Amino acid sequence: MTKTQLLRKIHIFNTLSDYEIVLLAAITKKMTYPAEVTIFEENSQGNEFYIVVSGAVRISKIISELGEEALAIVREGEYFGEMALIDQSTRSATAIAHESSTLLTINRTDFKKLMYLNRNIGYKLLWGFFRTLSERVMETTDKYRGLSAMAGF
Amino acid sequence: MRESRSISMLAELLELERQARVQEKSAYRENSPEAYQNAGESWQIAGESYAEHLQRSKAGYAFSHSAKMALYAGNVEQGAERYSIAGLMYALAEEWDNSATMWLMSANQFEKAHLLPNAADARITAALILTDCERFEDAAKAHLAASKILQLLERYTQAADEYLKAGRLYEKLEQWKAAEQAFKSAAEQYERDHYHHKASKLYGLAAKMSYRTISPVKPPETKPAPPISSPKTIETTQTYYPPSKAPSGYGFPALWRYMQEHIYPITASAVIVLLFFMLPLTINWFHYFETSAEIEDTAANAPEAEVMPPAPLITDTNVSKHDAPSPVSPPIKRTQPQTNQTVDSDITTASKAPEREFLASAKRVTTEEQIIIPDEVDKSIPPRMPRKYQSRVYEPDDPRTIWYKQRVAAYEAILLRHPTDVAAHKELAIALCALAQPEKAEEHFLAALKFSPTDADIYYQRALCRVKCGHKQRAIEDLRIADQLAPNRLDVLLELGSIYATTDCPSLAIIVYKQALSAHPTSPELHKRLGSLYETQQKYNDALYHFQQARQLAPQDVTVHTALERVYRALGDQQNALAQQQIVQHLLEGTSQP
Repeated sequence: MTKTQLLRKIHIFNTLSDYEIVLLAAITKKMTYPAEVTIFEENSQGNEFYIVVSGAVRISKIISELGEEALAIVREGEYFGEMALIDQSTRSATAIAHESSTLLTINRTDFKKLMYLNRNIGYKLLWGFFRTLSERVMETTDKYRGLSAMAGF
Repeated sequence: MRESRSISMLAELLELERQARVQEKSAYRENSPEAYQNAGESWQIAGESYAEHLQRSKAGYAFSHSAKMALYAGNVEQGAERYSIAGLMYALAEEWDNSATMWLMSANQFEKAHLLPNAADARITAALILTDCERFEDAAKAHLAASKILQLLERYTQAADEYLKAGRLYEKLEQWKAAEQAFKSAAEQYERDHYHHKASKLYGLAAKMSYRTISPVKPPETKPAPPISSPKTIETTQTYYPPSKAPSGYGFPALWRYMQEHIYPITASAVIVLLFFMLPLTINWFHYFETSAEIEDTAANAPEAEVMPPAPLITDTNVSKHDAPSPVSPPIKRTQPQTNQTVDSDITTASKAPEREFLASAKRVTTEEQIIIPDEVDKSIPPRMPRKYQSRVYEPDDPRTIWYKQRVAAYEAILLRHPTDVAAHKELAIALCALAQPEKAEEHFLAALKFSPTDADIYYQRALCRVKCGHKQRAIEDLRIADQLAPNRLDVLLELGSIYATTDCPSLAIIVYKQALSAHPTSPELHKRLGSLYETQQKYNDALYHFQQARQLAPQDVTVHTALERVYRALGDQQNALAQQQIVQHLLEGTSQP
């Protein structure tokens, strides 16, 4: 499967045209990680966005005295670390290859240059990110409501 | 370990490139689409590998070869896409010139493949890069090309944005005509998407550019003073710096810096503020003394100026000064030079006798002289309302020709005695223009302006003369100045609008007429002209509105009813069209309206 075909499957990029996908694919880089290898650590500087091409990645928090607390498993076609493209904050969790995985990465500098050169891509991608953020805020709100309800009982 | 890995990686990349080169060579030998396609794929793999290892420049090179091979193989779309990728790679490597070239090539190929959205995108990217490289002219061209594509795609707002960017760049390059055109196109595109406010602003900008076309901003003549501290920065040529980019080594910034360094800052501010307020006053004083000195000098040089009695000035008794004059010698009025620049219509009967005497003694001219009328004169002026102030060129046997020749003789006689008489210069120029002697007329207009530079009517009359000679741009310049000196003068604005309307600038004509309408809302002529312009642009609803307004203001005007009939027909309203037709018939027959 080519990079273009892979990117076409990703929800956040479904508004991009074929030509835009081709351009985006040109700045991606394919990386392969064996199982249990750390992709990035919590509080490290984030510069890249990852898309899982094959395999699975575990997003975890390392809690002292308790060890690793898994937050989520990111599987094929899903992505993580997208906030690194927008701001320069540190990673909020650790990413570990759950299985032997192939990832596509997009560097922030390249991404910003692409957005500068093609405003349409920038516009569409930023909308994609906002949609994702909005969905996550709604999910968090639901979880918070659930927790509040449980605490009430 | 790491070093050996990177060496092996590099070797791999070089090997891929070598293979691609070999395939390309064999493809040239074979000259078959398949061979070119294979070579293209090899370059593609090499490019991708270079990109993966962040060797962007080499990746760009490989992708450009890959694109070329795809094109040779007949796959235009693929070629265009690969050129785009090459452009992107060069941009990531910050090789902007190469990048721009690649994007432009990509755009060309996309156009060939009829993939217009991609072509527009590629052109916009190229324009952006070219602007960053300060290749403003190329960038403007790319923006224009992109806007034309976007226009075809009916993305009018985006097209307008691109036209606007092109306009800004042309403005920066001081290519006023191109800037005017770009702003006008931008306004038209915004109008299509109903962004009327933006459109009107851009029409204004276009008008500003049009004005600059005829009076370009010139750099100041003064040579900048060399900086004291650094002799290396002394410039040998005169350079014009816009105020915002003026170097701090000289001029006002240098003065300010010097004052800040050497004087207490508050004192410096006070001095600057004082200078700022004193400057206009000083200029006025200077202008006053200069003008007075000139007048005195000219008066002193005038032959028999002190001995001869004040010379008369010939005027018409009716309101229209030059239109349809009678062949009888016109009445004369005495005026003081310089003091009376405007001509009164009231003539005292007591002053007529000496005036007739003067005219009788003036040089007689015969009608045998041939008057040359330029072919283009009347073509440039469309038929429209009678011009109150415009002088015309008449046939040699026309009694008005004799009349104008008499005027010329009379004014020449006046100017012999009073060479500083502004009104005489102006009237003589008008008469000369009517007799198709524009060069001489220009001379007298200039003389009149020398002594009365703020007389709007001189500019207006000169504009009319220039229109006759086919110098429309120069006429526009005069009319603009006349409008500044005497704002919202109806005849000036009508003339200006008329020139714009006949020089393929109907949008500018509309702006001018609307400006005039705000000052003269009861002018049926303005409504008629606006209606006609909208009708030409097929904006029938707007045309209908203005013709209806004109009908209210001039209900007996046959042309308005005829125009209304046309517009109603264009709108499919046959009933109203028929009604207007009947009114026209009644008006022509002189019977009462139904």
